[in-house]
Amino acid sequence: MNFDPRQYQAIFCDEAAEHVVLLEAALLRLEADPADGEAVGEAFRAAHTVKGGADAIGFPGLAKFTHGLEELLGRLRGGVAVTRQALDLLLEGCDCLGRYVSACRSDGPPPAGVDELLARLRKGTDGDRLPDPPSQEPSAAAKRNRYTVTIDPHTDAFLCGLDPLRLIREVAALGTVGHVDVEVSRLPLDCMEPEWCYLAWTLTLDTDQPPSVIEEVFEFAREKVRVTVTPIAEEAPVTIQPGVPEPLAGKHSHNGSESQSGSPLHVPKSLAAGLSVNSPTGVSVPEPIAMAVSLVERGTLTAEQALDALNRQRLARPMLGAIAVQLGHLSDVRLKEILAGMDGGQPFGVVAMHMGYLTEDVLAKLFMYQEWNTPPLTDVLAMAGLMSNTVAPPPPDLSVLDDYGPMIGEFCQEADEHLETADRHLLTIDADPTNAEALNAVYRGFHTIKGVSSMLGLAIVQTLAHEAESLLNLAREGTVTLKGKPLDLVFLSTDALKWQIRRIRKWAEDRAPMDEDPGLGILLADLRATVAGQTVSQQHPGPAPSVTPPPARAHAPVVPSESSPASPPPPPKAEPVAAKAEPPARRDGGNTSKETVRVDKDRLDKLINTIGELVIAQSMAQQEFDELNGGTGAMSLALPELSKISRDLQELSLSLRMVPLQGTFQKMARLVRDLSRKMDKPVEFELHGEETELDKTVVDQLGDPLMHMVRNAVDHGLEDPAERVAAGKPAEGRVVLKAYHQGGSVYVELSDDGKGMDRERLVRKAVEKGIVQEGQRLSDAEAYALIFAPGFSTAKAVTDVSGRGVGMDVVRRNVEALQGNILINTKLGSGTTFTIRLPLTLAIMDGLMVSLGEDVYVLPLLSVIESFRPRPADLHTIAARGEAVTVRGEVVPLLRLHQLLGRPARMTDPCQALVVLMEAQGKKHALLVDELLGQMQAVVKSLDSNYKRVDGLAGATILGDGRVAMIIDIHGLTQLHTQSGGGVMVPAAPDDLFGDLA
Amino acid sequence: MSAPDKGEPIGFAADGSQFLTFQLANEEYGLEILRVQEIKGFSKITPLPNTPSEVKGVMNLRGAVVPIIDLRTRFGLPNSDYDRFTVIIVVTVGPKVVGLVVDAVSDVLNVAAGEMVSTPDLGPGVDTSYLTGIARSGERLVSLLNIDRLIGFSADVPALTV
Repeated sequence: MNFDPRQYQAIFCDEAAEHVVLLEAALLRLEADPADGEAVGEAFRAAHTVKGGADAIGFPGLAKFTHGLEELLGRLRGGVAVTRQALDLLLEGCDCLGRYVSACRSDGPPPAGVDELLARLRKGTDGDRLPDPPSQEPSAAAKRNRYTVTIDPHTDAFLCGLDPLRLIREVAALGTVGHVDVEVSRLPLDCMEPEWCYLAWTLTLDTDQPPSVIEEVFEFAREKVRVTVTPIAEEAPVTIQPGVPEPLAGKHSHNGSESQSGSPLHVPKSLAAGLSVNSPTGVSVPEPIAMAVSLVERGTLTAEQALDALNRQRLARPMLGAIAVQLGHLSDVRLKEILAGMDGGQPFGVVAMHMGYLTEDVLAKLFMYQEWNTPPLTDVLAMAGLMSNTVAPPPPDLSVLDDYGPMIGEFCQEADEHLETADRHLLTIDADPTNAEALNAVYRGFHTIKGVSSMLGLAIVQTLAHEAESLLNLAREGTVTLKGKPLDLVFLSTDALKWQIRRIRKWAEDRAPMDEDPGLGILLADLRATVAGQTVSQQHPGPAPSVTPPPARAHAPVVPSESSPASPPPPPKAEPVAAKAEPPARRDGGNTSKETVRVDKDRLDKLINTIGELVIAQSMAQQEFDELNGGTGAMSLALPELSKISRDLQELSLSLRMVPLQGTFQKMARLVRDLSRKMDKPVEFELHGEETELDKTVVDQLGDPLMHMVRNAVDHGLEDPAERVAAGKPAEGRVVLKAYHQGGSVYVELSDDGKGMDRERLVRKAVEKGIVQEGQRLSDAEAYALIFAPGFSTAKAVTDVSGRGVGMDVVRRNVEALQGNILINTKLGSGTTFTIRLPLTLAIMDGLMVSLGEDVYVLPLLSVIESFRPRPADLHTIAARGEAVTVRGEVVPLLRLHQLLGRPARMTDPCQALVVLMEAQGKKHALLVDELLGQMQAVVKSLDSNYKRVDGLAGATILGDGRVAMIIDIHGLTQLHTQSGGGVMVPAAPDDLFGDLA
Repeated sequence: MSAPDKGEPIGFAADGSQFLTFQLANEEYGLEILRVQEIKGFSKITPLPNTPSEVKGVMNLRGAVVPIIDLRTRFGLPNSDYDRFTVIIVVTVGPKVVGLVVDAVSDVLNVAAGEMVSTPDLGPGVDTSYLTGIARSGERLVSLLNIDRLIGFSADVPALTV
């Protein structure tokens, strides 16, 4: 059961590389629009995911570095202005991250400069932080002032999305909060609206900030919140009740927005009824009871269970008297007097008021306090294991899906992997409870799940992962030994998490309501109990306000839900319908999560090959059938069907290798940005058609030539801003990169609006370099194609960007290696457009079948210009050996295919046979063949897979009759021609048979 | 691609191995049976231009393009016409699959360790490095081929022609 993280490392590296691309894309977007909050979020998420993965998979260095990056992004997300320096730093970090990931992939050392960059990232983080108001700076005691801040939100504050808690927290961040007092006098005791805000707060704040800063916090909500900030003398006595801790404010706000079970609806009219649950004489029924009744009615609980839960809740409720004493409203003596007066069965509140010790206002306040510190009925039920969905926050609403749809799919996949890993480790732990490494691995898995789920707003998963993580943490600290019950619990947690993941997946796919995991509540309660049992010895839900605020409760407001917790179905039921009716297009638009499977490339290739074989076998079957039934006119029903299916299958198999150009284009965007900064030329870069799909091999190999072309466009193509302005163009240059499909090929177009190419200058330069002869007539296309000649550069100076004359040579070679070609369209003064035409895939090639003697050869159709039968007058011999043919006044060398290949031909007289005019690397050649047989889609098979490369052959393909035919490599053929001096090839020495096998 | 036929029905010799024997002219050779993928009748071969003469060409083996090597030519034996007894033994050489043209396949030979003798020195004209040894089977002498050396796994492929 040994787990080897290495097997996941490759997967991680792939993913990380994708995330780096995303990160970079987001950063570039951010640069275009520094206010783009979404881009910051995206970048942050990408970095965060890489960090989490790196940590889990065992690349601590990478995790550390990414963390630095993430921190800086976090600052930006927190609202710090996006500066140029920060962006530069981030982009640099992003590059470095990319290198780091590839280093991890190859097990190499981290790239140079990582530590230095990390230090700078951190400095960038802290550097930004310094000018910011640090919250807990105790140094400036002298400047510290004390203020009383009153916050009085308008009653409809919640309805406007204003959460007073946030405001209070923000104020608290400015300094140290002394006391918080809640003003409840506005609470209507008879007709309270649960969604209204009746409360106001007064807090004392120690801060070194001027009052204006405090007021700024409320700037955006002026009309909804009344705020006063009054400085008070240092010695001023604190008039507010002591002992109310700050978290109170938080709790209060929850109650206000949540209105679940804790809202003091039952205070009204008869205090007596409200103050004592066990006196059923009240007019209004307290909410917990109503809830219990509804649960019983629904059949969720039995009456006994409901009663039991209510009793438990009542026991968990702090005593009013205790609160009163704690808050200083009653002395011990008076409390005893009241208790003595309760003999008559009168409730506490009534007696206390009767005795005049407490006013109605104070009582209301006490009551509120009691409510906040009473665990909601739902928690009680969950603790008892009777209900689950109440503990877990409601399912995330659909907006979450809209925001994070694609990520949710990815998350599910990752989570599954983590859980599987965790399971494996747990089994190790089962055998050896002290195995720290396995334990850490499990912990990391849960931690990652927790982090990502919280980011995605999947509260249930988050809660579950959090609880399990707490338990594991205890185990890590050595407080708990993972065997027996705790271990079972962790196992159960992984199962429950898997369940949740399945559920989320289902929900994300068809937006159907999710069934609840019936065991979830029990599990959560168990987990909590186990953790609590270990952390603090005795935890009675007593008056101490800090006790067990269950995390689920804290998360609840994240997704405010009006539904009673006992009835989860309504919201999911209502929402999917609305969502389905409203944006169906959006759903089709791929917004739902797509599941992907990562497959080994070799296996994929094998599949594609096998399907290719199937197609061949099918056509062989067809041929055989035709031969057998020759002339009888028999028809087969099955064969055409088979033919259709195998063709569909082949099409499908080829699409498997297709990937969008996006990644490559993104790199170009980055390149343009860097170049434009380096050379001080403002450039507007436009991308179109990044989603165009191409064979992965082609996409991978397109990067290089494209890079050279983009460099050239920015360096040579675009003028300096001053020149541009002088020429009446906008100072900002424009470079457009686009890709599109047309007629079975993919076109990639790079255009700039620069100075264009100067034909005269090109030719002059070419003559200087001896590439063309003085006085040679060149067509426009030929003249412009001169830039592809090796060593040709018109740049006046060699810069570190370009000008060495290698670039365009490489471009053409690469493009032709991809069986593509390249076209130039330029106009002096207004710009240049390069168009690269590429085949959709390298696996299939359009070929022209020609015959030579008994054999069939395939010529790449892309290189074929025309075919013709020359007249005797068109043929020339030069120096008695070199042959040439004149095509429309152009003299083209004639290559006899049969001679170059050393094979017999039926016809050796060019005037009887056919000549195919081909072009390779800008040069034309005429190829002598016997005859043309037709066009075909050739599935290219390499010869090296079982033999080795053969000069003059690009590979082999299998014809419809099952025979093998060779595909001609025009460029290789011309080289053979040159080597042999136009004569017969000398066969290779017998010794190097399979020379490259070793 | 089909899995190599491991020769299951025939039991392995206790302490030796099994060899597929075949005829070339009047000589008998053996190939380690685990290296043999399949045996095919002679079928259409597409010639491969610009390659040594023993490479007869390539064949379509269920979609894979497999080179075919004539062992007669390789050993410098006189060429003979291909007829219906001519067979192609498809063998694996590392990751590659190669077809060998031989005159006829004889049988499967169990060679116990004791029956194998190392190749004697046959004088300067004969390079024996492509042989693992010689097995005696009754009256017959079978030269056991080291296919890796023969097809060229070693850096210096020995000249086989006498």
